Amino acid sequence: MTLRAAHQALPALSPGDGIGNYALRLRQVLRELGLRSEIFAGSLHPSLRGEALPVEELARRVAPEDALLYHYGVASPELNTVLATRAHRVLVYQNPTPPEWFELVSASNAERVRGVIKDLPRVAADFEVAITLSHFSLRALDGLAFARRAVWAPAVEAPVGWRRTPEPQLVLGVGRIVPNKRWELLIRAMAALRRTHPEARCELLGNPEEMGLYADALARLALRLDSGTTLRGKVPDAELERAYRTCTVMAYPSAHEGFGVPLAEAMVRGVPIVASRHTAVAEVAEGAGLLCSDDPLEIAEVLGMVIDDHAVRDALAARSLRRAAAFSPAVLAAAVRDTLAPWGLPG
Amino acid sequence: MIAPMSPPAPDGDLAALDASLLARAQAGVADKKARGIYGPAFVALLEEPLEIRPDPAFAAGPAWPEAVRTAPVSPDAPIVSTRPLIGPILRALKSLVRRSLRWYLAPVTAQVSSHNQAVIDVLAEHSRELIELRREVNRLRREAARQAEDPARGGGGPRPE
Repeated sequence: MTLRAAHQALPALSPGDGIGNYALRLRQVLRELGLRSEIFAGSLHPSLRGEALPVEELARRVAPEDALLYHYGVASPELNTVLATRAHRVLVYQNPTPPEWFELVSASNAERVRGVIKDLPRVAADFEVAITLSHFSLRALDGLAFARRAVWAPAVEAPVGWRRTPEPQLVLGVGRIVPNKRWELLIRAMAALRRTHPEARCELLGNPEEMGLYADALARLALRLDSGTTLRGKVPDAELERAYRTCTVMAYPSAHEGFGVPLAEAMVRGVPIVASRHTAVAEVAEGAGLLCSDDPLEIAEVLGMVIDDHAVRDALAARSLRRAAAFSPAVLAAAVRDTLAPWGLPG
Repeated sequence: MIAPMSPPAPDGDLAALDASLLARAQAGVADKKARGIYGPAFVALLEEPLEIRPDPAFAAGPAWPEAVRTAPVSPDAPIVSTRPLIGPILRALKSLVRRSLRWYLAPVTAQVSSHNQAVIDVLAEHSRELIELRREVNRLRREAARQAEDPARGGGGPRPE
């Protein structure tokens, strides 16, 4: 028996969303393997019309011999539709942020994540294969009985003809405005950095949706500490590319990541990285970024070194580019092929 | 079975380079503290917890979103009738009645909405106060437990403030 199709289902497909981008890239990889592949979404952003089918179509379009990948990161009714569909089910575990990180900020987010973690053992029983984006996330599945488990790290590519034109003393933070990212650490580090580098400034690019209370607190802190930090909110892709092109260094102080896509995006663009040592951040940035403690003064000092010392800056940029090879489309394609091979692949 | 893809092994030279850079950074911090660039007041300022106004839903419970959603009262609820044939006539009549009573309904619903919003605001403040008090109790409990424990015992990973 040969696998003919491998489809994906997820609660929502939106532009600029990490899970959505990952699903779109996976669809491309699956099609290049000679498989039919569609995305089925519970809700679809109007700008992505044509990229996904309604999840209600699953029963009609998916055959029992097909593979069906479900991206599991929030509790949502689409899971029940997936479980009602006969197929080789593959759980793509998106390792949600532990609920305690939403304490004070968003009761609804905390509740949704609690639901995912509580239901995981029950849900796992209905899936043959488990996929995670990092080895750190794979360990979260220890003790659950899957026939196969694998890591499919997201693939990233720089735009064609990419060239960096860094501005002096510009620190970049990229990622959702959520408490586990600990952007307050970066703001405090910036306040310290500006004691010796008064021209230093920081741009923080990320979606604050559902996290208004946290974003407000960050904005107040940035002002109170005279940190030179601007919270730019969610920006268009062109603006994000401009930020990667012009920054001196990217800082990533996150305490919990299932992967940390901005790290890989910065690496493939040759951006020097200063990051934390926690969870998947340490794994993804290992060998590329300079991994610091959680002391804002130490972070400030390291940022200062990268800004002042071109040898350090160039070495980190070269390390970023080297490490980015681990997140290439070819590596992702090989991982996908290895995992699906036991079901038989076309050709 | 786990796919044979493993995280990168730290390169010896890289690890040594990183260790030397971090040692340089730590020395730099110590130097700036000694020179007063990072004075005690500034360090204390950096150590202040982030001031987050808590989400009232943590204390107000699962009914909170519905309370917020239904607080504003509108005099313009959709006019519907599914009765065959006479449905459009009924809708037109209802619309006429509504228009004729607008002078009376609009200020009343505005007053009810205003009152509901004031109640929501009061409840939100009470809930936030309750959350702050719970946090303080938990902090004091942790502090008491820490004092009762062996002070040499190490801590875990980072936790939310």
